[in-house]
Amino acid sequence: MTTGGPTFSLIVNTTDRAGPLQTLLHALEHQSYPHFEVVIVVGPTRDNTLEVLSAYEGRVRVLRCPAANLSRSRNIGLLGARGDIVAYIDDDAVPCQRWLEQLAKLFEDPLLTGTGGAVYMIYPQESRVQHRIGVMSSLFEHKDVRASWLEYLAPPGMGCRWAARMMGTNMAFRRQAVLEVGGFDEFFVYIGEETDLILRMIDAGYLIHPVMEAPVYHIPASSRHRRMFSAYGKWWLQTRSGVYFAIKNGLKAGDPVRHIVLRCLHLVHGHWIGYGQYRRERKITWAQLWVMRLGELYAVAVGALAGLFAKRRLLDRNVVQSSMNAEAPILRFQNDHSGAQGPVDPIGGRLPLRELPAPPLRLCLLSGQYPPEHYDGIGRLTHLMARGLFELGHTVHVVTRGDTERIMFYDGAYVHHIPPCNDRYSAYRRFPNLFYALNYSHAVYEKVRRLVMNDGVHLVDSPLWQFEGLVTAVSGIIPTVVRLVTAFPQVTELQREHSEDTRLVAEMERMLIERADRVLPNTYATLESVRDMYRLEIAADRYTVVPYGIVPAADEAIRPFDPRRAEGPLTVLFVGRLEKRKGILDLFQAIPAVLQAVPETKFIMAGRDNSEHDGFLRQTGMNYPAYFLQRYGRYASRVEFRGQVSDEELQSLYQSCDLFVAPSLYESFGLIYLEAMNYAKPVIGCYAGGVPEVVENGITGLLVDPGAPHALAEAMVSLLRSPARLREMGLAGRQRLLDKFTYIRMARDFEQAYRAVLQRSAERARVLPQGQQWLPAGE
Amino acid sequence: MGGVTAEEVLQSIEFELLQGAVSHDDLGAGIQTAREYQNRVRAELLELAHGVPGSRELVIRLFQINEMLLTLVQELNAALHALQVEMRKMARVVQVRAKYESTVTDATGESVSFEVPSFPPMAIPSSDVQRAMRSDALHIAFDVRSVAVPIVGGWIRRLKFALHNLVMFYLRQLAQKQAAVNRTYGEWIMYLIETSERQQIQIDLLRAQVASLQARLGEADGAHQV
Repeated sequence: MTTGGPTFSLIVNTTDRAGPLQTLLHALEHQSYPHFEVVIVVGPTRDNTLEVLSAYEGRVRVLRCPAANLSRSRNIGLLGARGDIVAYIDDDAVPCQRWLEQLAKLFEDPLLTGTGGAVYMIYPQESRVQHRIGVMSSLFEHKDVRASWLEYLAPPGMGCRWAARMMGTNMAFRRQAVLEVGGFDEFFVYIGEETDLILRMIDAGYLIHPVMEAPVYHIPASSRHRRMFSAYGKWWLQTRSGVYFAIKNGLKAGDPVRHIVLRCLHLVHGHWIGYGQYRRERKITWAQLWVMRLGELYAVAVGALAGLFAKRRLLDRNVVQSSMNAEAPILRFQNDHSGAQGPVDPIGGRLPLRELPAPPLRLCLLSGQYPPEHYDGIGRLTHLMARGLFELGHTVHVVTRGDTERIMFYDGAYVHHIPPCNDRYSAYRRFPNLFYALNYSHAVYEKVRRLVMNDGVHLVDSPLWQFEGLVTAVSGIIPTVVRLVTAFPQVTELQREHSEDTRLVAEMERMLIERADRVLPNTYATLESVRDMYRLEIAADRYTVVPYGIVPAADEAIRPFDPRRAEGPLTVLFVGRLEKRKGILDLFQAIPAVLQAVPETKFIMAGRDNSEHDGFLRQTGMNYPAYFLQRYGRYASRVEFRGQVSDEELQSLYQSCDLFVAPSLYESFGLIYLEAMNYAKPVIGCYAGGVPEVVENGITGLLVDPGAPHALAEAMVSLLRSPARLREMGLAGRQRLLDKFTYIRMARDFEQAYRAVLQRSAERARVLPQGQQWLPAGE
Repeated sequence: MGGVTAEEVLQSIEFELLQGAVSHDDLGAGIQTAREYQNRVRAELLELAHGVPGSRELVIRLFQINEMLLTLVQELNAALHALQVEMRKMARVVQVRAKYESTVTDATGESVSFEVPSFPPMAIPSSDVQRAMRSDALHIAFDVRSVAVPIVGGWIRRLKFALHNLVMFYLRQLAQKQAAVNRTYGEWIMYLIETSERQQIQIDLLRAQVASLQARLGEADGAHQV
């Protein structure tokens, strides 16, 4: 943890947002930089804000602002602040863990007077980069997100003066400097006040330099000026501020009068058209439309008159002087318990379910795909891990692929989307799998580097598949563990795809295992198969077997087989992609025998056809359903192919079936068996991969040899003819799941493995010269 | 197509990690652009050199030269950045000193001495850089030796000659592109050297200013004691 350095006054201006404010205060407990006080300026609030703040008595300073005027509120906070630096954050935002630490580093430069980092909007339904090294002109034109300082160097616009700006929810200044320029202009009720201040500070000779790091996660909440996710808002307040801003700063910068007038008209016109659009979409009534339009005209008049004739509403010189002369220590916000507190859901304010016996961890999980957009395989597992680790009290970041750069908070984890970037490793362009995987692995590394820098992440957990964490592991910036899942060569072997490209991908996976600090197979079978495949020696102290787990269904949702139920068809469910590896051909072969023995049986196949990728289509010219129809057409009426189904439908299928079957030739683990056991269903699988470690033969289901359709048929018939066993095995499976395979249990096992790795890293760091080994910050 | 090993890929990863060490400032962004260009050129050349005997080795070695130059640029960039920060700090010291020169004393009443940090001049062999920038720096002579095989020896020699001519044809293209890349790096380095020299002069000036201020303060103290 940092010692020394400047002191910060964190100023939060709030009105009617008790919930988000409480979330922010909880998040501030985790700041890595301890030398800060929190100054809350409460506006004319009508909710329980003061009640929330009473819980922080003696830790935060509460000031009151009589009006709903953001600039005035910011000035009140400024005058009450005691730190060297004043940092502003909105009440509906949470900072990254090293926010103040990063800002403190920047302020080591004695000439720097103001700075601020990026702002990410993290709603799952609307996540995007909201602000990053933005610029604004003297005529209130702005470009909020830039990829680099070189982008938008000559912005298109009328304003003759452009300046870098920070967003009000992530900005920090030297307190004395802000006081010297008179603080915020209180004409700005809302919007524009921060840029106006920045322009005045630059005029006074101060250096303002926003940065791309030190991000703040923003969850814009409704206020009395706007309502989120609706058209309602006092948008004319923006026009009022914009017109005033353009006149005051435009005239000073030397913008021609006609440009200033034109810009003011643009502001009104834009809103005017927008209101018409809202009306056409029936988001507002006719009455609201005209109130808003008249409001615009009123705002232009007020803004223009004030801009032309009124003096700026800055802080009084005497008040400023007395504030500058005031010498008092800050009121430290953090206490002895701060570090032990768990994370908070920044959107809903939800807290972890359990209290941790040890300090919480900050973890980064990698997963090429992730819900809610994608819900399969590794993504699904990673989601369950993230959810479990959050509920245990850890902060979780997930790095996944995306179309654009964005961050969202979803079900317990910050999900960072990385857009495709293939400008590296061009020498390997001729090996597509290797080329794309290498570039993605490098992009992951870049993201992890930022997470270490901004969010103090302790450890990276990568799946083996396509070596996502390899570049991070090679870089050595942070301990990296690898989750052993199905390996790339296992799939290519089954699909008979052998090429230089697949060989190299396999080599890279092997290298990831070698470079990782620890290996986490889901079963002993997975460990053995990876050892055999890669001819690797993995010592006992380098691996920990962590079985997967799922979210247990509520007791009232489970449907064990009822032996007394009236006659009706018995439903056998298969879930999985229709491909060779899943044993689909064995199942097809077994179905006629089952239907002959137990005619009242019905089969449901849920999962997409994969015949194109596994070579079946090429060999036979048919997909799997068509093959079944041609080969076993007389049984077609008893077999239903559902294709890919939604998660809700899938749960419903598990719930309503009587027997679950998945004769996979290889499964590293097989979450599908657990999902059936969750609803008290007996399962049939194969002695393949990790399945025997999940399914207890004869107790929770039956196991047969892989590639043995007759044995498979016999197993199905024997269970379908024995209602009592269907019930007993189903209930035994449910109990086994509750005992061994819940997601909380899995998260706890992962946590123990992570702690062991960190412990070992710390020990290594003690024996190595300083700087040669990564150490978690602050520990 | 074959022949790529896991170790080669690992070296590529380490090289890319080294490239990523450049800070994300304006100069860093410029270097990054140069790198993207280099990556494209390398890919094109490897494609071009595919199947030509010995050329793959040559391409790899040429790009090793690039990597060395790149490292030098990185080092210079980092040194320049550190120098800028120090300059700012020193400028601040001078500014503060000028403002409070009559009042700066420590607790015992003695005048406080400002130690101006001294910077070792950047020892950059600019002649080496200029030599690397010359277009003939990449001149490669090929020697086709005679073949001591009776009867067909002459034919083999002619065949080798034709083959080496083909290699030379590609290598000339390669050398031109490489020379262009080297020139770009050289220009960057020369720019950094010049900037560094200018800053050295500024530092000397500032140092003289501080010395003069200290002397004036000493005189003032002497007069006060008298």
